[in-house]
Amino acid sequence: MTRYSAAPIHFGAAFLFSLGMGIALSAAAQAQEASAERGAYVFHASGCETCHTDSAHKGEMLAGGRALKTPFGTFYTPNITPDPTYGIGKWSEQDFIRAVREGVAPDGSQYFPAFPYTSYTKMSDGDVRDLYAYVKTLPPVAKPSKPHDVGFPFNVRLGVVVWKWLNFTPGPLPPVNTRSAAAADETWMRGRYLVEALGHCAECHTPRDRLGGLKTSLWMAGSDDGAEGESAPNITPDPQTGIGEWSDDDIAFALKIGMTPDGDSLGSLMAEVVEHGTSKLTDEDLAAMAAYLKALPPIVNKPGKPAAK
Amino acid sequence: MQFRAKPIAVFSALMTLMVAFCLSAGGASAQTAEAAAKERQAVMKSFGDWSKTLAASAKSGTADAATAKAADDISAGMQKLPALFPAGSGLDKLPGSTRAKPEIWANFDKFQGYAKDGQAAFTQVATAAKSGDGAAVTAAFTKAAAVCSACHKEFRGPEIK
Repeated sequence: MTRYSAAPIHFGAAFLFSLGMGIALSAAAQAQEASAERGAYVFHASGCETCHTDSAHKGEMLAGGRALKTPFGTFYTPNITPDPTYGIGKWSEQDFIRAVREGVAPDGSQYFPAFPYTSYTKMSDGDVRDLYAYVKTLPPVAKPSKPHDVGFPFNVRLGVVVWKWLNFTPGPLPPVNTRSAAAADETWMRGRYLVEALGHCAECHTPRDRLGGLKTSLWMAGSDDGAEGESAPNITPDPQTGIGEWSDDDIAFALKIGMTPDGDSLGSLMAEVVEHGTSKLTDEDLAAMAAYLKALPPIVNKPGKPAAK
Repeated sequence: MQFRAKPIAVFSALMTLMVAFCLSAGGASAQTAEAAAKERQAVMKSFGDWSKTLAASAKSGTADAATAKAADDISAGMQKLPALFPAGSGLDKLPGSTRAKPEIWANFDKFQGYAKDGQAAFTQVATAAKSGDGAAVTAAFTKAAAVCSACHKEFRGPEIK
């Protein structure tokens, strides 16, 4: 917070400026026809199905209702099937892009950042349009979304505006490596895009401050408050507390089949991330994700609370 | 009829015996639960070790005798698994000693189903390894690992810190 306090007006101006510059579709992307087929791949890489389907209660695909327990309250994911009444059937492509990349609903209201638009804002023009094209092909489900169970002050949607001002950097990824000294080669760039934008890995694997902003100094170093109230492990290359002992192949293979090099299954939500997401990605993309993770600066951090009784 | 003189003494002796039996039975069953938890952890640990071998084979597409043996060993272990989960040995009864969720006993048929699926899936890995087809090993192990994942996701609680 302190880093912005010196020049809040300038920061605000920069925010609005980047919103206008970074988020508008480029002319090139608009010229290309969106493809539902490519969108299916983006859909898997982005892990939409895992959160927007209440699989524990046999909910229909993307009909929402899954409970996301966070330290701020319980969020219920909304119905994002193409149903015109209860889903996103009436949304234009522009509505969809604004929701995914800016966290703003078609009626202008703010989405809570439980929806990881903080990551999806980095999604490319082509990918977000393909994603829209794909989601529109899925079966509509006429089921109302469930209201969130979140206490004051986090239930004030207008507060999200302030939260975004503090914690949301809209727009695409920079063309250089700002995370480490590693070269921003093609594989690394693809890996960063998959991990940071689509995969939104940091949303669980990076710890948050009291207001729910990511502590970027502990990027991917694990969090006590991961999904489902469980801790999320450190995935930086620290050999003791992270996954430094894993080879690139080990990482790619774990994302493909859901098993660690120790022969253990990946835990809780990660099993679903693999099932609905990373297991469907190409070997090249998994290798790129591994290359990105291995190039991160190693951070010593062991998340995890004592077992609950 | 000669006992009719002191029925109360007989009754109290019987009660003492019964209470003693119940206590010892109760103690034994808690011990059994602890022992079962320890034993199944050892079994899971060996599953993990064999899976390491299998993961290496699956990554490289290797079909050899060591791969077949590891898969057969896990398959055999799967058969014995449900018996190592006696009622009352979940994390609700033994907090800090086991990650087994109480849902296991509420859905024991399903739990057993996973063990059966696991047994079949690892038999497939062994079959693939014996046939010498490395690509088949990779495919079969991917399926088997998904069974491990599915059951762990549903029935295994958080890591014990």
